[in-house]
Amino acid sequence: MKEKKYTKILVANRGEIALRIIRTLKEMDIKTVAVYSEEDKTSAPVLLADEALCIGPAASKESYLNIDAIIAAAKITKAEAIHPGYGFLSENAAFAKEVKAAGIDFIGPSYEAISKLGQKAAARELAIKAGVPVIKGSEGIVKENALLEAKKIGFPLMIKAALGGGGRGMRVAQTEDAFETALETAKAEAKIAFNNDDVYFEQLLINPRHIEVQFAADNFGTVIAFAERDCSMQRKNQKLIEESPSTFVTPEIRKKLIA
Amino acid sequence: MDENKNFYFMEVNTRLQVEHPVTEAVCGGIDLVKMQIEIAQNQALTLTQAEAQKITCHAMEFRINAEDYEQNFLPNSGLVAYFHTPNGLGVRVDSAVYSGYEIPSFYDSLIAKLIITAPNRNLTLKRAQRALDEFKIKGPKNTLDFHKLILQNKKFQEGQTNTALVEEILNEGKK
Repeated sequence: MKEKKYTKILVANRGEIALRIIRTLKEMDIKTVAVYSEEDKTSAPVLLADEALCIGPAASKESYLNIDAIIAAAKITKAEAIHPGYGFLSENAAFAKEVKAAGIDFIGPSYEAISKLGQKAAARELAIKAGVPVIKGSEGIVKENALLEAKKIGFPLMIKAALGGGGRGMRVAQTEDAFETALETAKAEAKIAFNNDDVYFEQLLINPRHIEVQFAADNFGTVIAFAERDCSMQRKNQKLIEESPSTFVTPEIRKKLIA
Repeated sequence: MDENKNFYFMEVNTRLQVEHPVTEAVCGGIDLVKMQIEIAQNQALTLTQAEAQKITCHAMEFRINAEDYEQNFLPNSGLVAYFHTPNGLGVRVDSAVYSGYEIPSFYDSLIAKLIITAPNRNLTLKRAQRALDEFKIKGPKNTLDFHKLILQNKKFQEGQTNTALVEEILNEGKK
């Protein structure tokens, strides 16, 4: 793989993260293209980027989630790569694939990786195969005998959409009595969100800590992992405070986490 | 991670995380966005595993959202008449807001990330308190005051956090 040097990158996001990325690009002597919705005409990233293109009306669906408009903007400005930031299209495998097909680099993992890891059940399978500990749960997707499978794991129980992500298609069944309703709701939600109502089960941990490990991998097979982040200060899966190192993680646990 | 420090795989996020600045700080001021771009340019990683896992300081990120925490974190929008960010040693603010900016109602409510670094956790808490007091936002309701409330919480101060603590602090505030 030949080393290259970008001269211009399009930032397909808004707000603080667009600005964050633009700042680094400037320090790297790479020209910046901001894209924006009509609502964001006077936003800081638009004012600070070298070029800025309007990609649609205020609604995200018609602007920051508008794949065609964003790729067109990259072509018009001759940007060699697109940085998606977080949220919006950042974990959308179809977007990453279309960007690549347009001859533009997507800054992030390959669309194959995004697609595999974006599906909860598949990611869990990968983790099991790699020998990474997972929460006690069903063996893959539960097709039949749902209640029996659930009882094997025990209550409270978490029902998760196989293709899920971003908290959608997830339901807790506190007790056996609540199980049928929770299962139906999860399946209905999954059907709407992912057009697929496959689910699997996991034991629900009570008041766990949310620990995450940042890693980076290059195109030559080198992977590095950083010290953990503790994101336990959250509410309804929305983080409020993150810190590192975690007060809970000992050096021995850290070794295991990173390994 | 459960209370016995057993940890389990949950998911992989295949993107830059909102809270990446915490890692940038703890790892001694690296730039993770730069790293992403270099990787995309087919450059090999230069940071070694030993360097990556080094803990050079303590870091905390506070998400300042345009939300009314007393109204179930209802999103707020509108004119920010005055916006003054804290600075000084160990203080980083990532924000696209400026005085006179109108926060649109169409998007997520994160308006600023306050990232505090210090040699240890206790000093980080002190510095966070100082920086939150300096932070002034005139306009939409926001979570600055809720963060100050969290800093007053004994369990948080002692590092006894888990995913139920925020709700606990909220309920205490309502009493």
